[in-house]
Amino acid sequence: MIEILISLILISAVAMSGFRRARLLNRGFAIQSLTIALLCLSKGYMTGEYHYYILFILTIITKVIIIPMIISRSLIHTKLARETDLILSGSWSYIVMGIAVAMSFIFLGNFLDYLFKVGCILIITGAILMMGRKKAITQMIGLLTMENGVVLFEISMVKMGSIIEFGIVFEMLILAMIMGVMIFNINKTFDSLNTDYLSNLKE
Amino acid sequence: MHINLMIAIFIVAISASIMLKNINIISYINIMGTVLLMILSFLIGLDVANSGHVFYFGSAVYIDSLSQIQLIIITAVSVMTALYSHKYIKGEYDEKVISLNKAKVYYVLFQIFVFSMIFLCMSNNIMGMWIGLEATTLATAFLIGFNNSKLSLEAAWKYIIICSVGLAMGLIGIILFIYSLNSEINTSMLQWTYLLSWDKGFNRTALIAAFTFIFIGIGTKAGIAPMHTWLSDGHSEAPSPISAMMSGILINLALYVIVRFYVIIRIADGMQNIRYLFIVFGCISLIISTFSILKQTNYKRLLAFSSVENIGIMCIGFGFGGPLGVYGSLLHSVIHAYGKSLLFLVSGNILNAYQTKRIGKIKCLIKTMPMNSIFLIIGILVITGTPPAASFFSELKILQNGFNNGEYIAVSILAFSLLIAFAGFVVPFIKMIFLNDGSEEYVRMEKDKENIIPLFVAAALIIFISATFSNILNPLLNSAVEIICG
Repeated sequence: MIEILISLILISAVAMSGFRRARLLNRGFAIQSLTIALLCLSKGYMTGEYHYYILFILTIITKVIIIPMIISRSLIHTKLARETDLILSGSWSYIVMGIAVAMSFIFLGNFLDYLFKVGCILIITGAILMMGRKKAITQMIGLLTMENGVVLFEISMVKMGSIIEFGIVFEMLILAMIMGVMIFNINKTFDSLNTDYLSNLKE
Repeated sequence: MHINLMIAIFIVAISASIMLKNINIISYINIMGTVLLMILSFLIGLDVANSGHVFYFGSAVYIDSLSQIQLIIITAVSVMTALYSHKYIKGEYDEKVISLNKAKVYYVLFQIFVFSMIFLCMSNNIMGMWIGLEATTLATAFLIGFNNSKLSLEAAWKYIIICSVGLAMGLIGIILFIYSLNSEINTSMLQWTYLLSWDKGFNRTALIAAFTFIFIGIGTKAGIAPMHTWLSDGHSEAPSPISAMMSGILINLALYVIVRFYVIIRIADGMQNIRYLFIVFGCISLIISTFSILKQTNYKRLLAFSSVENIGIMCIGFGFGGPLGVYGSLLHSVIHAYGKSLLFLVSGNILNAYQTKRIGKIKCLIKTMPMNSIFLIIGILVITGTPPAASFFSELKILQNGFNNGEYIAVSILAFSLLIAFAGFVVPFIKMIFLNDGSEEYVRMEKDKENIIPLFVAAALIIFISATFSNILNPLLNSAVEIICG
């Protein structure tokens, strides 16, 4: 069961790295978060520890429902459909992702479990989305994907208390809200979400 | 008791800012709140001085002399900035630059910002420290973009992206750190005081990776070069009181979190050389910032780069690692907080009067704004480390420790950078203050006297610290040095 979920996360990560449509990216993020939530659920079922259930509920509420809603609202507001003019084109993103997947499975060989490796891959996906794209909203999704990777690390390596889990998830939610508002402001002030316009401050 | 009172103050101040409709009253409550916080932190300081450290709420809140130093800085600087915000926000509101709601948002975020910083420095839980740091990012993101101009939005976006990625890296570091403990963990094991006496060994590879991630990730928030890129934009575009708080307190606090981890990790087997991370990144910060200072044309940006330089000095002091160097770093963090806040507040007054941040467009401040220029001169002398100020002694102690250790390369980089930074700092400000090309008549501006009280407070604190650090502040600093050096 867990292997299937992990492979689903891996597939969503690889697919997201090449998406150009913002709506698809958003949906990819929601599905990825849902898979992570199910992973928490099955882990909780297997180990019988209640903090996995808490993480499951928190992830469902914040990352599957609220954050994708914020993103799709700002998509409607800003009338953004797709990325044009990418820094790292779709096919190159897939190639980089392929290399990243191969590398993390080669170098992290026997080190820890699959979750850790997929966590690394998610962080690389987030980095590609943040550095290879120009729209502010894609960068936001990239950051949130990166956070998903950190969550996988956390599930794979350590157990934190439920209050701390709650703190982390809550802050992610606030972060997404703030970025949503800021994207709205950027769109209003610059008439665009292209971060090329955000380069007036120089040394 | 004290902590409950502090929480009550925050609840009152935040709910007052949300519910009341009169900006003056909100602002007075804000000032009252910060003054009460300062008194409370002083009372806590007395407890700490008597017993070494205090616990509250079981062991969730832990205050020792290291956190007490941060507490002094936070509360004192927030008093100054609250005083400054009173006239700043009122002026903006009267000129219809901002709406009532926006002014209220400012005060709410101000309180949340101060609260998250106090939470961070009192937290005993290592994850609590991380949560506090992330909360400061969230609170200040809107404050940086407060003016809603193109430049400030850009700075805010950069800030939130870079700092969030940095803190995510820091979180990975903390996870690796917990993993390296080689043991099934429970919640009480995340406590700093518990980890300090950890004797079951570490997984060395994971520990090295952990500290590197923590240093780079949280160092982003501390503005250590080359992760400082958000700092120069954020500090120069934020409203001046917020710049003062971020530059004076926030970067200190991020460094404080790194030092907390360093204290645990330093004693592990084979981790003695981890201190070179501090030295190397401190030197990089110094070199990058001093050469950036030289070519600045924007005075707030110049001050921001000076923060990078000062964080570099503190890093090097912690890296040298002897009691002298650590003492110097801690003293430097205190005096830098007050000095830099003073400078940012003065620059806010200048910006308010001239409506420009260009150094070249401001001339003969000594005639147009004599009061502010006096405080500006005091601030410059303090930040560049001119002898009577405490910053001179802190830098001297760091250099001394470097010589004793025989780390001549780092010492020479430090000394050279201090020299360049002095020149780079003094020349543009002397032009601003004294340059009189006779092309126009310089008369005293009305705005000179407008927002002067917080500057008096800052200058008084600087003079107080400089005059008395060797007796009043000394026990506090020495016991903090003992915590770090073991």
